Amino acid sequence: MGGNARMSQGPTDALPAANTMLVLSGCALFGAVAGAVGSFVLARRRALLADVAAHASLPGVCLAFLAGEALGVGGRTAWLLLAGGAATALLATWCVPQLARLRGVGPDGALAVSLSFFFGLGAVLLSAIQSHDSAAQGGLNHLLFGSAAATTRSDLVMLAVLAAAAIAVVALLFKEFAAIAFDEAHARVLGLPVRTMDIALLALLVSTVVAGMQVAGIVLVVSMIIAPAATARLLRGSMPRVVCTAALLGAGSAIAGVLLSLRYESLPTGSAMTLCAGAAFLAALPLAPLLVPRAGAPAGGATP
Amino acid sequence: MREFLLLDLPMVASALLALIACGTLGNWLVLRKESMTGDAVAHAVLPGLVAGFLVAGRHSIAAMFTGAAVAGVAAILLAGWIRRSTRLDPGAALGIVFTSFFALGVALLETQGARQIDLDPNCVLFGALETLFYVPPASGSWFEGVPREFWTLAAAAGIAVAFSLAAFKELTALAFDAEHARVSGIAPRWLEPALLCTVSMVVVASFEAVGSLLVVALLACPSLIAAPHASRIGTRFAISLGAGTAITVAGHLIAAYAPRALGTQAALNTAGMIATLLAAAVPASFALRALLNRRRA
Amino acid sequence: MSGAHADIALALAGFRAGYSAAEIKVHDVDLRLARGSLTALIGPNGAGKSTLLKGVLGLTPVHTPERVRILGQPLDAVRVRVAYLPQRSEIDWDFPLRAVDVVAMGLYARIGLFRRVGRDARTRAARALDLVGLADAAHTPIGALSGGQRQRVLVARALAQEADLLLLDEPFANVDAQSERTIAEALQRLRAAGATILAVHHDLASVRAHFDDAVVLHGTVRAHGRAGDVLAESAVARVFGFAGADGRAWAGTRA
Repeated sequence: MGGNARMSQGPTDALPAANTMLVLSGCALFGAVAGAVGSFVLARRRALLADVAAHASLPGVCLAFLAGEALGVGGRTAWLLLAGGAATALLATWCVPQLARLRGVGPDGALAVSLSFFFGLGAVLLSAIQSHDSAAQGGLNHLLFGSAAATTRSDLVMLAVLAAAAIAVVALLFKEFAAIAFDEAHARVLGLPVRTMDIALLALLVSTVVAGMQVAGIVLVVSMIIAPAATARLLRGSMPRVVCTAALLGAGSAIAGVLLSLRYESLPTGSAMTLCAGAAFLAALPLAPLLVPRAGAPAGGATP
Repeated sequence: MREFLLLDLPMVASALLALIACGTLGNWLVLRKESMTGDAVAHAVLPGLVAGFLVAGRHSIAAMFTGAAVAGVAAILLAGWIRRSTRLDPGAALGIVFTSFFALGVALLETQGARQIDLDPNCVLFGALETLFYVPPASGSWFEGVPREFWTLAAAAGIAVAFSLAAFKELTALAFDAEHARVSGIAPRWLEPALLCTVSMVVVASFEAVGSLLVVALLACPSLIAAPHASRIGTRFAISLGAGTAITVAGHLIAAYAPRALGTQAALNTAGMIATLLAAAVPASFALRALLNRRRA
Repeated sequence: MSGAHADIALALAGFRAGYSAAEIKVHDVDLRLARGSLTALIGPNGAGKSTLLKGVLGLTPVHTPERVRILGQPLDAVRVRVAYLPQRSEIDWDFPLRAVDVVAMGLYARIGLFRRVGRDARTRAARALDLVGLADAAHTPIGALSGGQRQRVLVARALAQEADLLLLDEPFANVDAQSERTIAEALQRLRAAGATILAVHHDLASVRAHFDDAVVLHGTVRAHGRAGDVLAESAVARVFGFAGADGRAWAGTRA
């Protein structure tokens, strides 16, 4: 296997990627976007929603695959799978607040129901596809845990396009995102369109998820969104600093993960990336301003 | 008929045992607004489970549970320590610990698993209910042909029910008003950790047969299906298990026989089918309640 | 510190409580409540009234349990004999319980671990509900009760416990006039039976109507005595920031 990535032949528009460098650049870009978007996701406490959204892309991917096969374009078409995945992921994120409104369900119940429905549906569709057409199923299976080695050129193109668009949006809306993440009530008072921004963040989240589907895998892509951002928060600093640190850490973890998974064939890329991101977190722990001031020094009097 | 006894019955029975185990404890979790705890536990215990199998072989239940317990405790302690010693908010601390543990579990599974312990990641997610059929033993008594997972699930279900019955009023009080329960001495300090441990035990026991997806669904959905119809706790348990049973059986039947009926060769994932139906039943149940209320008015 | 006097229901000596080292809300609190007293705990916003109650019960991160004696003993020895009504609870009122089920919870500690809720417990619970005027609503799901009724159910839960010391945080908050009357009557009945009550109260105008004694708290105890005397003192005026504090409500005071 060595250092060269073996690129699989997909149908029609999928050409083998030029070389490892291309894969690494693409993944680094994904890692950076995941880190940046993840900073806001964490700040808005939407980590579990990100988890549900990622899992919910599976049925859409399967349906897109079936549609592709039926229409004759070939199931393994990158943009088609991405679109399908994005559609069901968005649908799932729409379902969550609707379900949460039901008496006795709440946000936690809504997440569990949404996850069960969409990921369950994905499981059923995946099993149907796999038992039917074993030629195509290998490609889809990689989508669960990620495989850099199986990335096609069109995958990378889509990834780059999505990532670039996402970075542009983050840059454009940065100060709004930051204000809302820091103090939502105040942002509302200022007249910022909180709802619209939230929808924008969700759209960014879904784009990141589908962009990373191929390399990190549906099940583990959320950890690339959470882990580098968590490490960046650990190191603190202003919001722009946190976002940039998260992007750098994300890119670094992604690159390290890809290299590891190319070296060890059986190690899924998603796992490798997450473990690298986790290792970065552990490494950052001693560096962080640790330990809240210890109790013991009495404050002079009560605060009026 | 023979096919039913050999294939369907063990599968449905195993799924129902998982329902009893998860559905019972899941009621407490949902009432405490902790519906996603099952998801967290499933993520955290995986590396321990796999490590246990790697050390002692695929059929060592003791190793599986020990490994899972070690991993689970480690995850909780680590997340707690991170939360206490840094100013990271609890969601972020839990998120990074659980996803890292899960990634480690998947890594172990993929790199070591297929070769050594015959457990693959798809199975971890989507279960292996389809493989739980009865194999008539060449020699020995009939129950040696029953799949091992069945017995594990039976024990888990027994423990879950016993725990729930024994500490019924304490768990109710704790779920309803935790502060009051602690202050007035109703709930001993070990009760919450005991609940978490029992949930973890049930998740681990259900992993092999049913997979993490259906475990999450079984922990949350039956209770939520019962929510709009039950004004008392006892009723809630009854409806959740009753509806859960009907849906589990239906899910199995559809997954097993629908493709054949439609003329295709496809094999559908049973756990996924059951999970989808359980989840869909939640809003349906609320709609039903709304309909009944309107009829009454 | 000696706390052996059985006629002192609650004794605090140099008590301290807060949420972190930087956020100590009450300090150097010395307080002795005689058995059978019905005392209002008053003070301006942020004075630490809720914190005091929570701290005594061990619910705040920073607290000094060794400085607390309840009926002459540390809290853990007499938990069953202390009842608490929180100000804002995290209760989800959609919980599948009826009013009588909630009230019965006041008896769970007495019934004991692993034992069933028997008929005796149910009778006591029904009686407590009767005391707050909700005998008819015993089997109503709590989701169907009004705000004032819910508050009364929680008071009934505290009553059912038949505790010797009741720590209530704003028992009269957000209740309708009828609920206010029934709660006040229930407290009177408890006091007559020998229980000791300390209740955070925000409405200065009604302190003398509902309570015998008052404690003024602002970080530490500023005054303690008969309600009428305490309210007339200039200490209260200083603490509340206006002259002539006799009975005029300080609008918007929340603990």
